[in-house]
Amino acid sequence: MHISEGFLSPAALAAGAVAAGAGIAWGLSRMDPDRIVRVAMASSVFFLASLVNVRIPPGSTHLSLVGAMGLLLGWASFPAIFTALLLQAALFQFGGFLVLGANTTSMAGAAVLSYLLFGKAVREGSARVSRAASFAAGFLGVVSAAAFVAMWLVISDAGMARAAGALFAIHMPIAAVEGVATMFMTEYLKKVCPDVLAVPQAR
Amino acid sequence: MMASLSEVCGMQPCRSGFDGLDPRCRVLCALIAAMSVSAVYDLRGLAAGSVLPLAALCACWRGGAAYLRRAMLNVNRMLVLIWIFLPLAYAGDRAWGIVSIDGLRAALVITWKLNIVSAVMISMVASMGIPALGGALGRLGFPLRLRMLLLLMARYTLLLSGRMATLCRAIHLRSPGISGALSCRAHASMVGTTLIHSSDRAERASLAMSLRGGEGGFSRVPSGRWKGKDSLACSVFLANAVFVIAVSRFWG
Repeated sequence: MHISEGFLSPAALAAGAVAAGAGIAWGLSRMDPDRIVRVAMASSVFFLASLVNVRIPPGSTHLSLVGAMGLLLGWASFPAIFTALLLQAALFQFGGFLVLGANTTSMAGAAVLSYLLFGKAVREGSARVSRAASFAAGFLGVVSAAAFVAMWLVISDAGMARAAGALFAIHMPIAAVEGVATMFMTEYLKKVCPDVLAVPQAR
Repeated sequence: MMASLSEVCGMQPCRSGFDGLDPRCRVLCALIAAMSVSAVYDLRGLAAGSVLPLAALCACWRGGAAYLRRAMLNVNRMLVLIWIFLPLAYAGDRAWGIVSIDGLRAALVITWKLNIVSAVMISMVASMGIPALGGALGRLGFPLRLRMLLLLMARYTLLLSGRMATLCRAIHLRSPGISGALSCRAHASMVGTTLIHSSDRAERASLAMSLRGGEGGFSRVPSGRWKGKDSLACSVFLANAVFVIAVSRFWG
């Protein structure tokens, strides 16, 4: 899901940085200062969960849990995902420092979209509605992040349109797996500790 | 994974020839070099842009060859995908009706840029470690909440990685070879359990921080002074950026 260094043009890099900066500023202004530790811990959990290999025949996949992150963090997803990507770039050289803006916009934009469209239904809906909304949030999280990545690639180099399309198509089965994982996770959280699903932002 | 987590979250992963420079200067110089390289697309411009990043990598080599080797290997892991995917899917004229000539060129340019940009970023920024990077961001004017989030996340990632590893081990011991929907459910529950545990811990940590005086010391930006050598380093990197863009524009 990450765009690596070297793919994007300076214009795309600048646009990504501006969009991410705006999102981070908005996310920080909406974040309840007393909940900053909770946001940091939740981001750490998602960061670590993304490193775990889950066996789904015929292969295995890493969950990104973008939609789930959006459901739990709301607008705080922007600063949380930015710091997670910064850590990933420093620790494992996934993505990179220069493409942080574009990668943050892709993933946090997708997370916020999932939160805005399905957050209320997941928290307040009946069990069946909540399950369906969770699946949709997880699915949309990956699909929209892949669409954002494809968009950045095409903006940088029109010759990559087919490659970007193929990249988007490859993410469809992964989105379905993410949807199922997000559904199981929110189902578990609603049963065991529904308070965790309360978004940590000032209202 | 755990080794590299503790390396970067806890301390400086690699000693380098840039340790005498202000961390802000290191971040700015790396950004200038990386931006100039990403602005060029021709091989002469890229060759000109490679000199300073390679020199930066060499300056760090003695202090942390193992770290740098591993980091550059990580960077190049995805090259196979780039070299298969781009020549097949890129637009333009095709050799033998399959391989796009422009795609091969794009793959070469991306590979080159990926290595140059990563070399300068790893040797000048990632090699500082997260605490120094947090300090540099603070002194560059990044918001306190963002810096706190970075430092807290680095701390809790290290802390929670042990718990996550224990839960993963439990899943594999209870049902070896688990796969499919059951595997998905087990991992989702593991993430849920860790979230609940971390939520409780976050409440206690927040309380402890506010009892100690609000921001738990995170608002303190490490002291440091911008010296003449920092200005000199920035000037050298800026001059190099102008040179790279000039080479690309006039001889590229």
